[in-house]
Amino acid sequence: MMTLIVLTLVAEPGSTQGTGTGPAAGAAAQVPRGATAADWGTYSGTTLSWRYSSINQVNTTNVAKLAPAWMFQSGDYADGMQSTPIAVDGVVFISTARSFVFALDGASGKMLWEYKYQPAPGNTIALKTRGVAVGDGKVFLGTRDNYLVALDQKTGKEVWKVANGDASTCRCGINGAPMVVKDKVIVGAIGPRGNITAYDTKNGHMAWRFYVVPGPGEKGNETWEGDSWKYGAGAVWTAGSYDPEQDLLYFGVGDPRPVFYSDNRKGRNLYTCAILALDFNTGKLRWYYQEIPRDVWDWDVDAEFQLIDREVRGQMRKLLVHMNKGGYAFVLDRTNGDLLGTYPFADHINWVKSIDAKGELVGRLDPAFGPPNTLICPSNLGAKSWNQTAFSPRTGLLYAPILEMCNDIVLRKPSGASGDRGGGTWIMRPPPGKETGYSHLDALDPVTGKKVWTYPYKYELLASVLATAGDLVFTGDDEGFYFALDAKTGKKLWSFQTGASHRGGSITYMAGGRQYFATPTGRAATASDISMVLWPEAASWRVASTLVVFALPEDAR
Amino acid sequence: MRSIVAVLLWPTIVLLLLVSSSRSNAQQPVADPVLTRGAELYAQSCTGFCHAPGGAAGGAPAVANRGFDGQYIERVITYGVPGTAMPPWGQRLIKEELNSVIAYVKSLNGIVSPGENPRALPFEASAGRDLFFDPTMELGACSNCHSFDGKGISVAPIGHLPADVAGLRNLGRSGRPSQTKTATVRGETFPAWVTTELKDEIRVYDMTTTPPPLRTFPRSAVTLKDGSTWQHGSVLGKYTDQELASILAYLHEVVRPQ
Repeated sequence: MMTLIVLTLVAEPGSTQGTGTGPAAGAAAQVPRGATAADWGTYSGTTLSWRYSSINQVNTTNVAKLAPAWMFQSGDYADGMQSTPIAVDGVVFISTARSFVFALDGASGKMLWEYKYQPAPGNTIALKTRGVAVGDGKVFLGTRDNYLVALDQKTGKEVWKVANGDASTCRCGINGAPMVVKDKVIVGAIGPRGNITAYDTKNGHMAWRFYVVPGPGEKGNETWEGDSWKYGAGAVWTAGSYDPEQDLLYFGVGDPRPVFYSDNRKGRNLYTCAILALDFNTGKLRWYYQEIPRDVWDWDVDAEFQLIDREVRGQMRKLLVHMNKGGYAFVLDRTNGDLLGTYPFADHINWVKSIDAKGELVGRLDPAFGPPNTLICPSNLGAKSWNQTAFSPRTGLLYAPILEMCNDIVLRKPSGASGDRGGGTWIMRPPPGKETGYSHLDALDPVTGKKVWTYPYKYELLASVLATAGDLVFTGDDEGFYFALDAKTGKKLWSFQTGASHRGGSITYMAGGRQYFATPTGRAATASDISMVLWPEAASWRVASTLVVFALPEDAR
Repeated sequence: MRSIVAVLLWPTIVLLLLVSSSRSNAQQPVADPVLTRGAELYAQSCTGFCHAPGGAAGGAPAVANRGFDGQYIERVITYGVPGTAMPPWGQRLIKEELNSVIAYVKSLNGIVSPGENPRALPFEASAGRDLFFDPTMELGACSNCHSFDGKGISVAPIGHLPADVAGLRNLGRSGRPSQTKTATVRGETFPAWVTTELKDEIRVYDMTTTPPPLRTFPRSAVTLKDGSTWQHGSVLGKYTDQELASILAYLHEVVRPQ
């Protein structure tokens, strides 16, 4: 089906191919495994996480003509629109902060159905879900009050829902988009112990659960002082990746709790700040790689894993590339978790002097009690936040939104009140020697980190990146611009002011023979408080929850 | 200016004193505007032919001090009771009004909003409550299927307490028969707990796995038989006998016989 659609694309009369930017007309086009075709079927495009589309109807020769096609105002703007939409068979599915789900006609924007989730009375109103999953005739939604809901794809009516755990006692929730793989829907959850759970898509029966902090008697439990494992956290708050060849799910684990303060949880704190490879059928751990033992900087490993195949030192390897919040990228063999190398990708890093060939942190700078507070670079938002990179198999490059900010860490000892295990907070600061923070979208080699080009930006780049076979790279910025860069040179080819900051992920899909680009707009209202420390003008950035969709005008293709 | 303040100040103080003193007697905090509105709506819509003021019995059963749990109250008020004179108020009241009546009837059953001070309990019952809602018990905690005082998930209400821990482990196998059913739908058969049965839709908890998914079907697609293979004892594995004894002590404080 996918190949057929690409052939249709290529043979379409009047479609502009440009110079060598697409497969030869009439040739059987090979859609690379990590690329999407007419649909955008899962959160990161495909489960290899490339956020790359094989559609090239829009490309470097005509992107300047891209214009708004339709918009959808969800009305749920309290926490912006931080999700990535899904597009299947010309229907776009988008979830909003309060876990509302809308199904929209991809060509016209007409609303086909809506589902307004009602949390159990007294529970936290669900906020900040990052997306839905579609499969087995259903749309799956994870809520902040820890429910997994399955809706009928055609009607939006509830088919089943299950409490992933009791949110009223554990304060657990599901932030990230669920993943559908074969007959299972998989969610990560936060809680006293983070976990990953797989349910049968048909009826909501739990298939397996993996707790990221081992229990008593389990291997790794000894890496926690005393009973600190009980509340070790390790939140799993983003969608994972999946390699069908290995039949492995890859999930990242968040930081250990209490955050920043580790006097009462001495030890490596497995499996926090680690990459987990879980067997798809059983949920058992095949291998793990802990990037940050005994984390004291909140360097969650929850961001995406790029699964690419590349020659390394003369040998073809199956890689997993992960850009850690702390500003270092880790390159692993995804079949066995072997570390192949690391490289720094941010300008300002001081929490470690280097990371050696074995992955050991050399010269740790642990936050200390002030005054003065310890300045740590990068900031708690990360050198790369949870918004995702894109990979293009045509250029072989990784496109990464990189943040250059620092912060003072303010440590807090446990107060003695029941349940208070200490922790801390942070105050944003500019990098040393700079007047304020800044960011840059870099095109770099995923294995070596070698920078090919850089696009500098004066505020933050907090939206995910989208790459296409039209040799275009799209993302959105703090000021509200959605823009396209040339994938080979970084030159800006097009931009449009959408009216509000970007914090979600844009996608591209086909509907009625036309290529559409859909970008969520609207950042959390409170997030601008963070930015205001560095840029007072952030107070004027607008709030919104609007999906803005672009296409080439009918006569311009 | 000062005299205006003085004029306003004393009545305000008196009002506050009245409010705070009534707090100590009534089950519901009088000052809560949601509950006040709920009480008003209850008086105008629920009393007269059916229920009586304050939740006492009239033509219809009493709704106060019945040990109902939150989800049961929400379901009955929202969907009504088919085959009786209890209408589905969800179709007659706007959402804010519906929620306020629900909150009021909940307050008549000792269900307070989370965040308010939990009721004071004797020592063993207090330990039992902590175990009942213990988040480190994860999926093994009672609160995954039962709720009190606004905490927990209400899969099934607790109406009848077994005499002892053995009775708790053997629930459904000895003494009172199990209230679960066996559902068959489109070739699938599973133990079920029915929560909502309407003319054209039925919602059941599928007890095959823990946590049990709540599944929605067209009513005609499902056939139900009394009883099932599901056993309450199979979900109590994480608690010791001593812990269950404390939990029973807690339940004796919060469950009123129906």
